[in-house]
Amino acid sequence: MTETPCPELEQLFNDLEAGHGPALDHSKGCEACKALLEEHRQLEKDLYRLADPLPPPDLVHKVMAAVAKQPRPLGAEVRVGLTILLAAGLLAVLSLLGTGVGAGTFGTQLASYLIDARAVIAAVGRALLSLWQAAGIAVASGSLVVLVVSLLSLRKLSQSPAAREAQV
Amino acid sequence: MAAHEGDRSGALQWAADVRAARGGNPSAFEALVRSVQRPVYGLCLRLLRSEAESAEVAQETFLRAYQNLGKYDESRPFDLWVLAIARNLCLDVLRRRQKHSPDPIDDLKDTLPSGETGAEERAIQQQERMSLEAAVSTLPPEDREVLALYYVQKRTTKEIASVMGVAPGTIMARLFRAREKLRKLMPKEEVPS
Repeated sequence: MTETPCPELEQLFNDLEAGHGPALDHSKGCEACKALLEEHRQLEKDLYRLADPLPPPDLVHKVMAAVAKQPRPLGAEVRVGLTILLAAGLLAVLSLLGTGVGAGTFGTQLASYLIDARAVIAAVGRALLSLWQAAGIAVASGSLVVLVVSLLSLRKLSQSPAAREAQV
Repeated sequence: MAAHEGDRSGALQWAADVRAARGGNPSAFEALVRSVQRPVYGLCLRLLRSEAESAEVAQETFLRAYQNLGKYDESRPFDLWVLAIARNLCLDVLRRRQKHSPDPIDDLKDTLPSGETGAEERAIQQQERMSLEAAVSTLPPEDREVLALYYVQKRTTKEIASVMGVAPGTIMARLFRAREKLRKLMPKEEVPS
């Protein structure tokens, strides 16, 4: 009986995975190779019994606190704003129609409103020009202060409660 | 079939949560975090061998995932995408560690869990697993990683290749080499099955 030398272990496992091969054929008659395969099989069994540890109980809380500090996605805010605008516009149209004005009269009313609005805008423009000529700098400074304060207040209001909590 | 259906419903749930999270819904992102926190933390702990660092890296992983939700490809399983982020962050930590003196490694024997069986058998198995965990923790990071993903998290070779960024055909060879190193480290005694 000729004894073939034991194959490289990696070749043996390649053949085992493929289900055929000279190394696998050799192992069927070789006690050393059989023992090696059995050790690997037992090791695999033990490895499969290992489990991932439980994460720290506060991991999710810490992640969400960090996420809350991130800027909100712009798309969401634009969508919300557009939705509010559309809803307001729809409500205005519906209430106009609801007063019994009717679609045709609504068109006439809208047209006369726009014509009147032109006159109003022109009048407001003339008033602003007069104001500017009289006290331009004071008015501009005051308006700028009001604008900045309003924007800062709006920004603070728009922060989520979680972000405010995280800051605390 | 049931496993496939479970996978499909899991994938659909992830897709729905990702879309909601992209829209700014924090509860949706929290659900995503809860669904994958254990495998992410587990991988970090096996790579870094430090509870404190693993918790930090896991937290950073989810933050990066949130910041890059817009770039996430919904055709790819969410858990694999997050695991890839975690892996890259862990490798950064390991590279930084190599530049400095090595830190003392937490004793993982008391950290990593045992499976659920009972009584005296559990005590024996606990002993065996502590020995196995200790042996695994001495292997190089790339070996620990592939063993953890395949045996602990039960990932397929294709999934592991996706996380590690290598060809799927190399995974079995890596597994074999890691197992062979482990076999040489383990004491040669009868293990009751």
